[in-house]
Amino acid sequence: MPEVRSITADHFDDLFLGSQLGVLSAASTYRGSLETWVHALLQERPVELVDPAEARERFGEEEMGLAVLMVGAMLSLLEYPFRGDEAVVAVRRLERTLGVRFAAMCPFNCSGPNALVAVGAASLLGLPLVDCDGQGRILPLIDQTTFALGGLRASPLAGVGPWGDVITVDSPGDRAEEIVRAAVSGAGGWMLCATYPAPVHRLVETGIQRSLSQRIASGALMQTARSDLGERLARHLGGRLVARARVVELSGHQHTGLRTRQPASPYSILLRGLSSTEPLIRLEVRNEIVVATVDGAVVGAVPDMICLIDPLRRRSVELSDLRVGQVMEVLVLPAAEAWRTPSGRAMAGPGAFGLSWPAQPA
Amino acid sequence: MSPDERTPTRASRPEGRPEAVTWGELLRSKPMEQVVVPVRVDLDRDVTKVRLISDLDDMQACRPGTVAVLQPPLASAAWAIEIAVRYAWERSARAVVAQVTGSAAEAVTRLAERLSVSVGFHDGDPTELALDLSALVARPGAVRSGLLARCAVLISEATSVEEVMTVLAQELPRTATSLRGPGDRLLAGCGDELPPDVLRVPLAPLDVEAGRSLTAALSHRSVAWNQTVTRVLQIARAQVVACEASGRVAASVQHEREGFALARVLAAPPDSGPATALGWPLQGPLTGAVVLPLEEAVRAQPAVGLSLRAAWAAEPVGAPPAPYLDGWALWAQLEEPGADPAEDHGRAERALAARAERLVRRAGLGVDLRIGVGLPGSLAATLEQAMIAARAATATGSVRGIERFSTLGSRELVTATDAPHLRRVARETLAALLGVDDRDDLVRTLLAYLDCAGSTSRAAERLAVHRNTVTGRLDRVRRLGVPVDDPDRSLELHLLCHVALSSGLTG
Repeated sequence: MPEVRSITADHFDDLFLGSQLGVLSAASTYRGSLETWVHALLQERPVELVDPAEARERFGEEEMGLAVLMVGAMLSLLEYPFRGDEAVVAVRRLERTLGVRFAAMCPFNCSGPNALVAVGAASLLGLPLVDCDGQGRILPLIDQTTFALGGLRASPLAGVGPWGDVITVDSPGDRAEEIVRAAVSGAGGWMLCATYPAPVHRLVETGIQRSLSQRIASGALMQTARSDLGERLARHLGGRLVARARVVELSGHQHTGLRTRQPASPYSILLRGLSSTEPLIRLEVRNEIVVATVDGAVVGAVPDMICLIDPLRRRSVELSDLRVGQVMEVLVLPAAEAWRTPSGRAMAGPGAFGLSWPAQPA
Repeated sequence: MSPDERTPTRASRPEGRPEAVTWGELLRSKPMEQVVVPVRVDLDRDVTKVRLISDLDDMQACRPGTVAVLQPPLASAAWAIEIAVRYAWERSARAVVAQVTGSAAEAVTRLAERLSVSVGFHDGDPTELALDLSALVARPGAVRSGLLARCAVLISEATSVEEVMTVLAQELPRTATSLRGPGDRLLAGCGDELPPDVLRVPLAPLDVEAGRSLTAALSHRSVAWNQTVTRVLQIARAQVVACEASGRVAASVQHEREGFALARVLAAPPDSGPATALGWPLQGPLTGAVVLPLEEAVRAQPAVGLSLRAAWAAEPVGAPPAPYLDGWALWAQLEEPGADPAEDHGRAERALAARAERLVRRAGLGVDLRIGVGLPGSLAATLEQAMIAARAATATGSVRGIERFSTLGSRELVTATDAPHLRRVARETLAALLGVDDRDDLVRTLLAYLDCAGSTSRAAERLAVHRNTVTGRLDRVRRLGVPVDDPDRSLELHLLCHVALSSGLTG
């Protein structure tokens, strides 16, 4: 796979497919206003993708960067679509608040809509996009990032809603998540936010490197692979295919576990393996899949990424698309090293999702 | 797993320490009544500990033989319960008890079945359940006392041997219990073959019958469990005997009542009150039969009557066998009369004879019983005829064991009137003839000669011998002083020959 130095409209399909990997609840497997907007922008102005190693040389110690993301329910984009200037308004507001000019930006994460939002914003603003992100996967909270693990703060933060409402959050107590979440409901269901203002060097140091280019490469693989998609993806991303199985039950339940800040309601997906022993596979969902068991043995848990791949349609599957009887491939992809530290596990491990979890899973 | 983590074996258990309670025993305890246990395995394995599990770390620390009672929120999360079941399987824990229902419980049950791990569900307080179970595990004697008390209550409520055996089957996990007669003949309970080390509690000295015992084949053996099962069987023994005694007394009273009722009907036909109360058929032509033991010592024995009555209950047609003289009478009304009364009578006789034969077979007493069947008519008349036929069946040694009055010839009729007396007369009158070695040939030849009205050629034909043989044998009979040619003694001689042959005096 050749190194991507510039993201063009030709990369859009790969980026779109690759960004859906491991996203169960916040995915969008059809193209809506956001996708149309980003695709149109790339046709006019490709985005320069800066490798992290190059970023350390290219940007000075004082040069600032930021991350952009969408907060809220993606389905509300159907009712209140993108206008197109939200990223400019949010970034400029943050520049005015801080009194700086941003030299570069990066995705908040490379999963689902946020990968596209970052590419679109960079194109619109004419800023280079640094090939790193703050999660390496999708996690639901603004402060659930390796940026935060590395000491960066989400605020000051500027957000723009579908009606053009702009909020600026400066939270000395790191309560940006709670404040933005409350503002989103009043704003119309979603907000595009400019956040984590920090020197570019610090974003690179604390972020998960080369995550965007990896997603583009994964998307390319998904377009070319045939019957062995799950195995090839696992090989490519250093993970493993744990099961090929048929969905037997989809059920919501009341078990909320320990008290958490997670906005998700619990959900279980039960599958029956297609191998001769027909093992029972359970995927426990809190927005995304947080635990996978095979016959009660834990085969994957957050912060590792557990993906459901549809081998027939050769793409990732979202929850609303899942039906009993469908055959799925279950992949477990390893989390970035930053998540494997004790503080990383505390922030993004099973405990962060309210699951009572053994210190050393079997 | 390190050696010290293994379930203690019975051989390695320190002396003086009570044997641990088994999972099967714990399942029968009162605290577990509130727990639904869809997957039950390793019932005969020890429970070493009961742990209240609040997180999966606790579950990881479980030792072999532990019963894990999950606490909320773990107890209601299917994903966590499944992980706990897996840990239980990996650690040889005895069981996992959780608090889910519906499809979540079904999924957990499926996994538990796959892994062969006992799993239970309840909606009570897990802390209370764990404490109660812990107390029982700490004091195994309490579990066993509880089981004994529970069995005692349930057995005392049983009103039949079958109910007692059902209680034993339900309350003694993985133990095959049965009631056995002499030679280990199965009388009630589990019909499996008895292993050599079967536990046995004889019903004697309480039992009126010899050689019966309650048995228990154990799937696992230990001193404590053997003692517990033995005690339960001892409790059951008294109830088995009591249930049977109660049944016997009731049957005996009923039998006597029936004997009295029959005597009243026969003595004073208008006084049919007691018989009517019993619902007996008394109207219209009746066909009677009498069952009479061959052996005189057994006649009129109540035990035989009770057995016949119990056998009659399996095919309760007509009147039950009621005591009648030194035998037992039964009778039935004519079914749907046809155009030909003679044919009806014949059919009724044959039907009753067949039913009486089935009755005797079913009773299976090991005593030779003979049957006589009377002609249809009044009850008194048909039973009288039936008794004569029955006596004929006993006196003549009928091969089938049954005689119908309608087919008795005059000789058998005479024979039946007083067989013992006639045998004595025959022995005395034919003493010389019966004293020789070839007496059987001689008596048969004499009988054939008399049957054939003094024709030696026809007698030879009947005996399939040469005529000279017949004349030679008759000469020998005459030489022994038998008055063959005296017309005044011809009838007497003829009858006594029949008696001698049928009574085995020539054998």
